[in-house]
Amino acid sequence: MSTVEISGLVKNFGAFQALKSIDLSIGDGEFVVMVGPSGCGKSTLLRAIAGLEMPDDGMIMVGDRDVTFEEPADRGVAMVFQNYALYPHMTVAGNMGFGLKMAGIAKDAIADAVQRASDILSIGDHLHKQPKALSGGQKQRVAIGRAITRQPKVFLFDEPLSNLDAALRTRMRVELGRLHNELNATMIYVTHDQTEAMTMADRIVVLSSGAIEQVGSPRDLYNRPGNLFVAGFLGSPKMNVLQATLVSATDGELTASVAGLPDITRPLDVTEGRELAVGDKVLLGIRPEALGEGDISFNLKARVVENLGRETLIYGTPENFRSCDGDAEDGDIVVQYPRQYDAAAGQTLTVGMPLDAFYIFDSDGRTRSFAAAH
Amino acid sequence: MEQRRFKATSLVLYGFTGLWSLMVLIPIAYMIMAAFKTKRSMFIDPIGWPDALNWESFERAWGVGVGGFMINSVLVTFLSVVVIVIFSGMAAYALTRMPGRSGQIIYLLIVAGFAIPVQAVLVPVFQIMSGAGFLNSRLALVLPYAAYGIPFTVILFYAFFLDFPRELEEAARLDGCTRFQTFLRVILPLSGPAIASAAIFQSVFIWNEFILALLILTKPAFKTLPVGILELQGEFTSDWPAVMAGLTLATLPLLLIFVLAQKYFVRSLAGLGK
Amino acid sequence: MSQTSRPRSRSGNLAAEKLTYAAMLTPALLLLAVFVFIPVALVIYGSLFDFGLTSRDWTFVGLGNYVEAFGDDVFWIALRNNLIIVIGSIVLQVGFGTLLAAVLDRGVRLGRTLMRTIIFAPMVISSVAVGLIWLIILDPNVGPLNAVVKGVGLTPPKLGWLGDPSISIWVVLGIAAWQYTGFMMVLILAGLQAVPKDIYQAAALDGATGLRAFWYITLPSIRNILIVAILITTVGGFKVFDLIFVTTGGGPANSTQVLGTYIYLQAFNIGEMGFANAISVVLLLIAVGLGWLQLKTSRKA
Repeated sequence: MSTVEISGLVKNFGAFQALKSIDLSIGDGEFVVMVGPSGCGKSTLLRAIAGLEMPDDGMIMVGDRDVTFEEPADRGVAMVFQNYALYPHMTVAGNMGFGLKMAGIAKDAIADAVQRASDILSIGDHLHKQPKALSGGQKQRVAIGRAITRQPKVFLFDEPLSNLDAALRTRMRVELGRLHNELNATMIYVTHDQTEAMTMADRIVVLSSGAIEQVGSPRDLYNRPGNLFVAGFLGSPKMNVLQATLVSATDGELTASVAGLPDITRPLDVTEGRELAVGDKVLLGIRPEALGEGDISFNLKARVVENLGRETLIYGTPENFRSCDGDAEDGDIVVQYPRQYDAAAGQTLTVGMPLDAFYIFDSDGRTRSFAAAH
Repeated sequence: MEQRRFKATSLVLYGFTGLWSLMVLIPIAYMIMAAFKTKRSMFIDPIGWPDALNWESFERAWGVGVGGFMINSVLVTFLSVVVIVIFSGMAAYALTRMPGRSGQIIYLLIVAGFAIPVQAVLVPVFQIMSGAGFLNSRLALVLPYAAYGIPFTVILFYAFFLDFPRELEEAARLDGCTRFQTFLRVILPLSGPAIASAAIFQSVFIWNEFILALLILTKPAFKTLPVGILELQGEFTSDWPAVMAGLTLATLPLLLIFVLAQKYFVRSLAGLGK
Repeated sequence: MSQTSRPRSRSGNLAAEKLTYAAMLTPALLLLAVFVFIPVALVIYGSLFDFGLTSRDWTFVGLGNYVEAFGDDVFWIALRNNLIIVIGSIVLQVGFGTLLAAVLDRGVRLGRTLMRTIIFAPMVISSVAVGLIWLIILDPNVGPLNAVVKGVGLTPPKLGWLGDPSISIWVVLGIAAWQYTGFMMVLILAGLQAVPKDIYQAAALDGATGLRAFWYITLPSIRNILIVAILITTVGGFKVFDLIFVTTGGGPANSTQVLGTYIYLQAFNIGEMGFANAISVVLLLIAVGLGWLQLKTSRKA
């Protein structure tokens, strides 16, 4: 078990800056999930920690050891790959023990380590099979078992569940959580799936274009996103965003006016950032699930109704106002009811709107006011 | 009407391929048949069946040393193919994994080597071999055979290694393999199809290679089959059944292997078009 | 402090990697150097001298060997024969190979593998054996072909099939076709089998079936493979040696001489190594030119 300390890490691929000076501290036994759109650098960062990419600048410490230029095998890390990367010509046991074999460990000790790891994952029955005889879920279990066998200080996961079907993914998610508790190991996990990030992480690291946008606990990031990017990236469907103009910015309060809605007044939660003045363009954000009931109500002409059983998503055109961003098409908004809701496309519905559920973002995209907790 | 036309077309198509197959088959069948004929019946009735299954021609041909030629051929072919596969595999792997453009440049150089026919460098190759004292050495013959087999095999492996899943190699690195250990323990064991394809192609080529063997191996004891069976013709000036028996002995083994494993032969040689 | 030492360890890693790659490349490159690249240089260098098989004195003659070659009738006959074999082989081997492949691909079902195996089989027989088999079949005295021809009431060529200078090169061409058409067929068949079958169904709906489908669908979709087949045949046509060496030895009266056999004759029978080198350089230029063409077309494909 070990901490991981990353400072000033830079990686360029030719002219492309994959990582722009990353600083990140990961605590002993922490489960950190790195998310971000494809090309944001999350995989490059993971591979740099693994030693599969040589950074151009910066330092990586595992525990109190500088491993920046160590060989991957000498770093005390183990990695689970997206496509399992099991050696097809070795048995399951051979796969799991290969790292120890290369390290010159005695056969008996390897067999013990493999046995222990296979017990943890209950794959003992498969030890003598070839990987091609296993299902996708079993393969991924073996890949995880291979990592466990090496008893690494840090586990690295590169989108390990993305090749599994939905049901299996849910099961493996739970299992990985259990594993983390059981082994109490430091784990760094890369995914593009925000459900995985939200459910498993102690802390989430959101990356975008090679830089860290925000680091924090899942609930913190969801409730108090530091900027428009994080607010939009976490949550599905995305937050509805409206254009507004600041009409007052005094006494720690911001008031914004939106065409077609009453003025929105929220406390100024974040004082850092650009100077705010009356007349500034700002953005208002409201999550789909915050709509439904509230202080005021507005008419919504439903265009698409998605009944998901447990919840209902309604994409529609508001009568009085327009959105500028979100998952609905031009100007429309999304409303999420946490229940079944009888509605049909074309119908005009009355939707409630709590006025304290708005976030306010300044023109740099930085969050200045958070929504009230509901 | 349609039905009848369809049948007629089908008949023509079968006739065409069937006739060609027959045309290919008859000389091979004749070789075997003539081996059982006597010298006399060869002259009197060239197209008649042999009077009896007559193994004497085979004994005469064997007496010239067909068995020895065969051993030489097996030895030279086996060693050459092993050397070609190992050297080409290592080179192709290095070329696909080298950073920067140097890999591509060396690859082009090797591809250029593919264009050079041995006929065009016969004199200097003979000079080099005789200068090094390599005349009449079966082991030394392996060296030029390997050299001429390497470019094509490198091209074949190069394409295979480019498509090889990178994650497996990265897993091996994390498991503590060096580059060379990765090649030896992960890449090679998984390159079966490419190796088989290369080995088959090179085996056929080297088993039948003639011109270099003709230059380098002049002593009968060292000759490989292609130069050895030419000896038959000189040895038995008018003993055609013995020549045919020798040819049968020389060609039948590879023909049989081919028939049994034709799927792999065809796949290997058809890969040339890619 | 650590800032200055760490970049060094990074280059240390890279140097170790480079060393591994160099070590893996060395054996192959060494063999290629000794038996391909150095000989190419030697053949060009040696073409400027007069020297014999065992003689130690080399006389510098400049381009004299080339002048001699271009004034030599046999050189031109050899080059012409190579061209005959190239063009004839393209027509016979690629042409019939394509037809056979097309029929085996879509025309016939039953016995397809059997026929493919048979037609391909001569490819695994050495050219020496092929030459000897045909030498006997075509023999004027004991050959079965003459017996058959006489049997149906025709007269075989008086000097023998391979003994008549006016037809011998064509007979050799036929033997080569017997051996290699199956190879071309398999090559092209692999290309045909990669053509999705549904475009034939689409073509049938558009009214193109049978011969018209062959012309408008089959041929265009294997265009690249046909180019490769033609290039392989062309290169093979310039490299031909074994078959002629065994059947005719270049005769009668040099009528079947090709560059390969003429190089061998001049170098190892007559002992004109320098002259042989000059002809080799011509063959080399042709081969490299064709290789370059092959690379260019395969890049485009």
